Amino acid sequence: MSKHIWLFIGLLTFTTATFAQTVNFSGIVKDREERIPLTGARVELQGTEFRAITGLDGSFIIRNIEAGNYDLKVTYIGYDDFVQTIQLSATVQNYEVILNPEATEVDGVEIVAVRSIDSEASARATEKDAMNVLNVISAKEIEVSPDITVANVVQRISGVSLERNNNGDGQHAIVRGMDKRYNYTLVNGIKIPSPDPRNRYIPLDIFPADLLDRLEVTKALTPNMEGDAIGGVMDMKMKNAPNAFTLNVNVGSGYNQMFFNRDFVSFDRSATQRFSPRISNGNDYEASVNDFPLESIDFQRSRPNPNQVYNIAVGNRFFNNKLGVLVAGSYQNTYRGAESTFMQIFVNQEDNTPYYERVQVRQFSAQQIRSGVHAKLDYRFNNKHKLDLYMAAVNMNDFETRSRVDTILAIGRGQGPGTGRIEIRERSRQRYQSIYNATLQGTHDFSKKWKVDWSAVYSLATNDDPDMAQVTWITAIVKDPQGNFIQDPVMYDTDYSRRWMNSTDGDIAAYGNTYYKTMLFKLPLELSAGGMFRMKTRTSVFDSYLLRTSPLMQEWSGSIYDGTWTLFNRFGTPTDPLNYDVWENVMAGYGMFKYEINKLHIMGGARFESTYFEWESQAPPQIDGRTGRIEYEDLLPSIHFKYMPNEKQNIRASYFASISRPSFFEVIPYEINEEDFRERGNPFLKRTKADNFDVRYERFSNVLDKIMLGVFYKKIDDPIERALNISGQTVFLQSNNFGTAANAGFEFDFTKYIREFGVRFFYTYTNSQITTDKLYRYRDEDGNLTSRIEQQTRPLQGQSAHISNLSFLYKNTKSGTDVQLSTVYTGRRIIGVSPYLDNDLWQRAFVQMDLSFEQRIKPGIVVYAKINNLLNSPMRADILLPNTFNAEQAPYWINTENTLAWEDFYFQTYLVGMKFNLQQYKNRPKRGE
Amino acid sequence: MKNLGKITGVLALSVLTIVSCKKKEEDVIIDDGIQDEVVEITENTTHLSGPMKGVLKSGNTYILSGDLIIPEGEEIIAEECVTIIAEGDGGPIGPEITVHGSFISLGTESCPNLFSVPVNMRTDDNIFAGLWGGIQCSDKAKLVMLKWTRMEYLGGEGGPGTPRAGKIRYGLWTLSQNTEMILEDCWFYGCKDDVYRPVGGKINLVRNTFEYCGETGGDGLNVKAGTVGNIAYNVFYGSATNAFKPSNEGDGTIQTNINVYNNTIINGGFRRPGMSRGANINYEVGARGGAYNNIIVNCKRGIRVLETADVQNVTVDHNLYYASFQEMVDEFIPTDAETSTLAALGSNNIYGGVNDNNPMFANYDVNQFAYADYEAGENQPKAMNRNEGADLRLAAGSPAFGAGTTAFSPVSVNWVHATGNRAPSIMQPSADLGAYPSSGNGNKHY
Repeated sequence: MSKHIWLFIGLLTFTTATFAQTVNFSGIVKDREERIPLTGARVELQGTEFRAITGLDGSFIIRNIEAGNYDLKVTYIGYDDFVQTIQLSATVQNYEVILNPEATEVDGVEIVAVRSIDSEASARATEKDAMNVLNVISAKEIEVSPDITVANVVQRISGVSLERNNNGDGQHAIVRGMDKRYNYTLVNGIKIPSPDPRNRYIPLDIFPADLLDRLEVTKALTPNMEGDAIGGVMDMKMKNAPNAFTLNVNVGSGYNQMFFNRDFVSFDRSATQRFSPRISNGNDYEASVNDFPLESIDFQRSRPNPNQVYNIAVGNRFFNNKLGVLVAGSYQNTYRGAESTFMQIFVNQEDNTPYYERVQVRQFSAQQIRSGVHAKLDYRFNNKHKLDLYMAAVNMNDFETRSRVDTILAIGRGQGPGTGRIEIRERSRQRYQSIYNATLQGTHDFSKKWKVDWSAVYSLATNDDPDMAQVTWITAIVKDPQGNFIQDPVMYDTDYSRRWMNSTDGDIAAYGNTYYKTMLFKLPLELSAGGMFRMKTRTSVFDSYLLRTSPLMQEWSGSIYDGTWTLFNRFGTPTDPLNYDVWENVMAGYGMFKYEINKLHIMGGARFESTYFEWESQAPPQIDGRTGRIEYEDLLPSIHFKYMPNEKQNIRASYFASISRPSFFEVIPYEINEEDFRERGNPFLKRTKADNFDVRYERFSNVLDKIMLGVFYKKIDDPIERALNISGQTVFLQSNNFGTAANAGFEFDFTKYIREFGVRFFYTYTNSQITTDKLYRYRDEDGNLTSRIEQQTRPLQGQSAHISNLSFLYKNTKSGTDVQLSTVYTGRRIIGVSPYLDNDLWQRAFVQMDLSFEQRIKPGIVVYAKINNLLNSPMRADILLPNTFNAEQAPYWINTENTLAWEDFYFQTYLVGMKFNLQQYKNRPKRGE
Repeated sequence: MKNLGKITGVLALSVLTIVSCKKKEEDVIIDDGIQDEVVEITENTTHLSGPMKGVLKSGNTYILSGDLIIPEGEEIIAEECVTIIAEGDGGPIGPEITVHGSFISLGTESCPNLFSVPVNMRTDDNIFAGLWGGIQCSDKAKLVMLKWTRMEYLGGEGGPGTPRAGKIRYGLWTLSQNTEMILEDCWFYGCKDDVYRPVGGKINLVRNTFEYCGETGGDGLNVKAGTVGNIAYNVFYGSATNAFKPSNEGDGTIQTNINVYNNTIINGGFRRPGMSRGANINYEVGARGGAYNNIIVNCKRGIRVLETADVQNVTVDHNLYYASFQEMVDEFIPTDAETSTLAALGSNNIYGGVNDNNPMFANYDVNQFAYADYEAGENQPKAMNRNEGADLRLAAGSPAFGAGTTAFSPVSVNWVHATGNRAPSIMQPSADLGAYPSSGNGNKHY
């Protein structure tokens, strides 16, 4: 025993003795201009095997070096090599290497290489240097994240939560509890039109994430930004032309767990016409049943093909580096779905509590094909004058089927559980959304003091949602006198519908800014002014057709081609309110100053915006409000203070005024009168105005680490919600303004790296309040069922009190390993505002966890894997009142306090792939070097 | 001094920043529609189209050559012996009468009014063709009153710009709890979907005859929220789904409350696919009222009260059910809503087995059809859906004599527009069941 101890001590002594002659060498590599740490720089002691790659925080360590003199060489793409002789007689720590950006000679003019802001460190630097409250997420961060669409990227930003689509995939951003209508989206600083047929907001899932250089989310507007955001602005900065030839390729494939277990339901799109029979042939065209081929309702079930993800980016500079070109393309073909149980709710006329009217068991199958091409060209006449041309086309084709089996609880359930009337509904839907943008930008430095830039823009968004078809079959399960369950034959329901919706939204816009730098009391002052105008033309067409079985009674044979129908409305719906044109002209100008009083920077100014809106609906000429106009003007002041007690800290305070314009459709004075549902447009809908206050403390303890603490307060005048309006005895749905709402919150954002390990955490608390009229159903003293109006105060739709994000990162630059485990917590929030008191639909709080993994095989070649929705987190939504009428109809759900109305599962999505980067591959260390 | 300009600049911008100027409010301009002049109907008027008002003179035939619009605050009165032929403008969508004001048709027993299509189009093939749009009311309409008026070949697609553009058009449609609808001694023959769908309103439907109503799925009267009134002494042949369906679905402060009494309902509920559909009188979602003294013959189901109805305030009593087939007998108390129907069911209803309790009509063979005839969809025998020489008065010895109750009152309605000489005929119940009590105070269509 003791022998062993002595041996052990001896060994220890020997080891120590051996290493007593070696030293460790550690330090950090930084960029000279921005002082940002450089991740992935190669550090080597020339002529030895000792080398290292800098980590995420720019640090490196080489251990166990024999003491002595070495030639240190540090190399990094886009920077001059650093060579220095160093003496390592003892362990050296915190050695700082500063790299100079590579300089290129162009016609005798020195051009400093454009800094790409795609790294995480530069993202932090941008946040730190910005004058306003800004969050940035870089291409590198996006690349190693589990996300493949921009929608999912935005949830990694503090204060942002997602509104998801039918298949659980992110679609719209809710910024600081402000619904999507209060935010806008930019591409390279230019506002783009929306393909949405009714609204202004952009579905963020249309953009493939890998086209981005970075995503910037601005939460405090400056006068040079368009003033119609109360939540925030999402700016997608697309990839820039590089300094040298680059080629990046990404190929991936994957599958959704759901389709290991069930088939994907698809349909044949080949016979679908993009436009309705009326739009294709004119209003006088009398359509027949032959205009409605049956392919799109011939549903096929099979396992889907694997998902495919491709991305390629090629860039170079030409003509003595004067012309830079980057072309990037992306293609994603993915299959998703949902397993859903939805309870159709009716509000009891007796006591205003919810009860189940129908149980809908629904299966969604969705194929989404995203493709995007963008080209960015820049031409530098010299280092003072530059032209940029940006062209982009992004498309999303969405093919969705919904299979739904409804059991009607109100009628025909009299024989008890298992019996009842059943409706089987199969729906096919196709959606083709595109956004095109061409922007020409010029930047001119006329002198050191005076600079001008301008942009000329053409954008077009289109949405074709052709031939959505829903067929219904009906059957029932009854008990025979012996108590056996018997299913009725499956019959076609008599009516089914096909409908087309097409819209285009085109913008012509121009922007100009001028900047003048000077000194005031020997302190730097920058004055700027600018203006913009945009002319928008939007057209929407809509047709819905009803087909009726002929003969009336038809049993389902198993093939849709055996069914026969007649067309009920041969002329479509030309006067449906969704047939409209609108024009909107926005003109704006601003003046802005930035004054730097040593450690205090002040930026302020005001923006003037004038809006002219005009509509024309397709209602007959006798109808009042077929055409109309709305004009208004806004003056939007803002001021931003930034105090920097030292290099690492910022204290910010800002105020800005902003607006949010009503959507295009809701202001047209249309009417829809259905039996249990009436809707009205509201031309008197006012724009929402807000006063926004922000205070934020930021500490960038080193260039990757940050702590941000902030509070915000928003006073929102005339927030817009779609709610019940009671006029006399008529109750209808209408978008309306609701007094003044307040929204206040607290943000905490924390990032910390310790060599290979990183933690990112944010938490946002938001509290908003809005008071609206609701109906309360009750039985009056005379014994009659009636209703009265009561006011209800609640949070804004979509606002969660608590949202949080926790990510663990591991990044080993030496082995080329990246692992990221991201967890998003979204607190409960209202996803459906009910007309009835306290019957709003609340989505339960949920946690979604995503994992991504990357491993370098060789320099420039990386394999990766991403798993989304690791925990198969369900979407559940309740009404916060008990079902006292028929809770027993959902015996597997507990409904004593709340009534569960909706439950969806989306399952895990897996993606594996490989990325290739030509420069890194070419620069790989060669044998014998 | 040089700094002065800069200071001024900064100050100007600061002032802009600090002074939150008065923001200009919205200027909203809503263009008026181009209104045609409201035409006063005169002796020379032969065609009806566009905005009109006035009196349709007795003995005249008018061509409905386009949508006739009765503007808000205006009215059109048809005297007796008036014929309106819905010819349309030659286009494929039939015209309609759009009412924002009031429409009064004062046919008489000796000279009823006829609102129909050209004679050559009145064929059996066109029964469900939906050739014209009947009377479509906006929520501003005050009163529609039809007496001794025959309406035929109704429904179909609403034309562009009409209230039901591109949608199913009912024979009669009202939208407001304040609209009053009085149908007395009228005939409704051939309607593609529901004959009348009141979305709220005050109704008095008495002594009418409904034939061939609802191609499929349609109801005779499909009542939504906020409708009050009475349905009495009507005869209904072969409804597609339900003859009368009171429901309180929708929103409002007035509960649907309808008494359905002394009606004779024959062969109803079979033109809707699916076993669990179709009744004759069906109380739904929050509706209240009573069904008394009705004769139900060979309908798919008995009177049904769904559990969603205001069951405690629904009474079903003193009705007679007759069926030629066991399938119908099994559903006298509808099995799919048994508990709630039984809860509303009084103890004085008359029902038994196959062929029990024959009401003994003066001239109508209640056993003339095979069960397959009922399930034949559009190939149902004609006599199943219209009166082909039937006399539904009660023959001597009928069990319907004296089996009813008179111990309830019609639902009381606060009439605002139908007053004075326009007051509705409020019909008291009769102890004899069905539409033809021996007193002669019932239906006058023989």
